[in-house]
Amino acid sequence: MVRPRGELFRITMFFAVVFLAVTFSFSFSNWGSIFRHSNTYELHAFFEEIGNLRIGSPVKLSGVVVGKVEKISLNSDYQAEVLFRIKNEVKIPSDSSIKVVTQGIIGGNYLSLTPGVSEQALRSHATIERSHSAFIMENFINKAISEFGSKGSNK
Amino acid sequence: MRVLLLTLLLVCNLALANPGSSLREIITVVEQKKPVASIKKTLTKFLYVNSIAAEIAGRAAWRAAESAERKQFTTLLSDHLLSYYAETIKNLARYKYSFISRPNSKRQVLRVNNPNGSSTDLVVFFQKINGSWLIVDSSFNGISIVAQWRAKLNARIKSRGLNGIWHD
Repeated sequence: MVRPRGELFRITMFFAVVFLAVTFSFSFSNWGSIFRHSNTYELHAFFEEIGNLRIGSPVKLSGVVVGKVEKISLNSDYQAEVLFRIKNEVKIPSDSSIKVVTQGIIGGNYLSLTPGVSEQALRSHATIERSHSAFIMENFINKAISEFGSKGSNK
Repeated sequence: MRVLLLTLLLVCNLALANPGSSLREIITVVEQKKPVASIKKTLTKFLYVNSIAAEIAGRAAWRAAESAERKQFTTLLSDHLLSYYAETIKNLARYKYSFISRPNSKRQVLRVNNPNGSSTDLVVFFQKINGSWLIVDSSFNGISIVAQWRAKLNARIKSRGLNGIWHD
């Protein structure tokens, strides 16, 4: 059966419009993130202090970027809950630790992973229990001043 | 009847055991201003030295070492670690502090108040091993004790091997 030329044109146009609509939808909606997330997995960590850590801050292991921070929120215990994504090819041992590190004096913060010795790797959605908060220079200075003051008054 | 009572006691004890109660048991010894030896004795119950030793050695050195080497490293490190932890937490008696974590949280946070009004968090990390909650690391002001020790010993372990560090 041979289709008339007009009908063929309409079918071609229909598929072209559908293709464009799907492409547009992937680019400007969360659908795309499903596919972007397919090569990463999600991990969580809780901190008392995250300093200048932001959404998009890198997650590094031995200085190599292996992921990035995706979400930061506050939990019911007033801790910062950080959700970050790691590349699928990077397996993190289950007893690993994580800390918030400052990039120089005026730089932003990033997450630094220290691998543990376990043979078992963390699965997606797992929480890294050993998490160390950001080092806040102001706290350190306050503590130093306070200790210096108490030593001075003891003399 | 006695066996039943003992079993009941054991079950209750296991049910009540949580990271918060483990930390409170240690802090009680500190509050009683007992000597370092007593704090060390209590800590022996709660410090998971095997895990801490592996963490301090680092993944590469730990995996490269033979089982006997690992055991020797852990044994030799154990006393140093217990003394360090005991001496460190003994200082808590000089400060006011409050427990701010839920008893069942694996991250127990003790908020230590400084004389100038600011506060510093002591975070103690617990892991459940054979029914007991044991300490695997702790951090003060965001600085991990395990990381400090690893940084201190890392170069020597790399150049002398896992147990070469003890020959000075």
